[in-house]
Amino acid sequence: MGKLRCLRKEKSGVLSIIDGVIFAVLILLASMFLLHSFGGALSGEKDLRSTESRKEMVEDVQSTSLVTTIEKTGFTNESGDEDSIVEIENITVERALKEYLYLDNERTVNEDIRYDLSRLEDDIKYIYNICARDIGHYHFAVESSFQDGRFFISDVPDIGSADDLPAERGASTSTTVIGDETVNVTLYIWR
Amino acid sequence: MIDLPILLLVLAVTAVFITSIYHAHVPLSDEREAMGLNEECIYLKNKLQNFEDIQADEKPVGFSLESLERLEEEKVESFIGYRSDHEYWILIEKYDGEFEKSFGSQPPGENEDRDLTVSTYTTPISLVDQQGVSQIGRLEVKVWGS
Repeated sequence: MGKLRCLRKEKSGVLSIIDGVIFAVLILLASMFLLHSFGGALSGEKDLRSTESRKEMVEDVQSTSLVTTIEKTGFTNESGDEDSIVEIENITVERALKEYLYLDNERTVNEDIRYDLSRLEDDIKYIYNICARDIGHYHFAVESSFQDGRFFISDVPDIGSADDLPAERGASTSTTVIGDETVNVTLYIWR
Repeated sequence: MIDLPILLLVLAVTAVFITSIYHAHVPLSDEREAMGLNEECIYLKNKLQNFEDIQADEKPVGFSLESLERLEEEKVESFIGYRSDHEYWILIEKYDGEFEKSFGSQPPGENEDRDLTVSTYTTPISLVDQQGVSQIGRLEVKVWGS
């Protein structure tokens, strides 16, 4: 009789432990599900916020950079026997970019013409760098072309063309005119 | 009679459950709050960018430094018409630091009330002087609330 009671007690103890373990497993599964749901929502909200900010930023960087005045810039004409430095004063970045594209096209189609446009390029890059990098804290790249003239700059040395750009990025395209041809200037930003 | 080890197990599991839910919920509500504030920052920035009284008359497009210097706080406040439980602060300055103008309430310092959620949005703007020379400026908008 006493042995039977002892066995029953042991059986009910084991059942209680199994109940407890099942309860623990269910609670842990419920916790994981809820955490997963909340976590997903959290990253979604963060993505939305950063996309919204980036959309605003790319427009602001582009519009500000293009109208900013470069006090002094220029390029070197290396076509003749002696190099001649051409100084340009108080031009906007948009104007400087148009100059660059026009001259780059000229030197590409005519082998006798040699221009060193690095100063013009550096001065344009300097303005974009302040707007995008220093103020906006974004990496940037600017791309434009006119006939055979090409313009591409980025603050990241490894990025040499639009193909190297990261997929997660914002872009803004402005149009300008060289002669009677419409030219697109595209700014890309990313973190 | 309640089995003590089972009771302890149940209590421990319940505590883990409540803690994990709390840890998941707090960042989410903070993020929601931050997102709302971020939207308000962008709203204020856009509103100010459309404020005709400070736009430069001719090209290049941007804020007129001369108009900004004369601009009164009340005028900005009534134009913005900010209806929110949150407070705001707007700073416009030249990138070289030669000019600075701010509107709104004094923003909380870094060590002040740690319960405050502060959202900041900084963007480049164009500041045009009397000669029509356009220089780079910085527009910073801060919105905060408890």
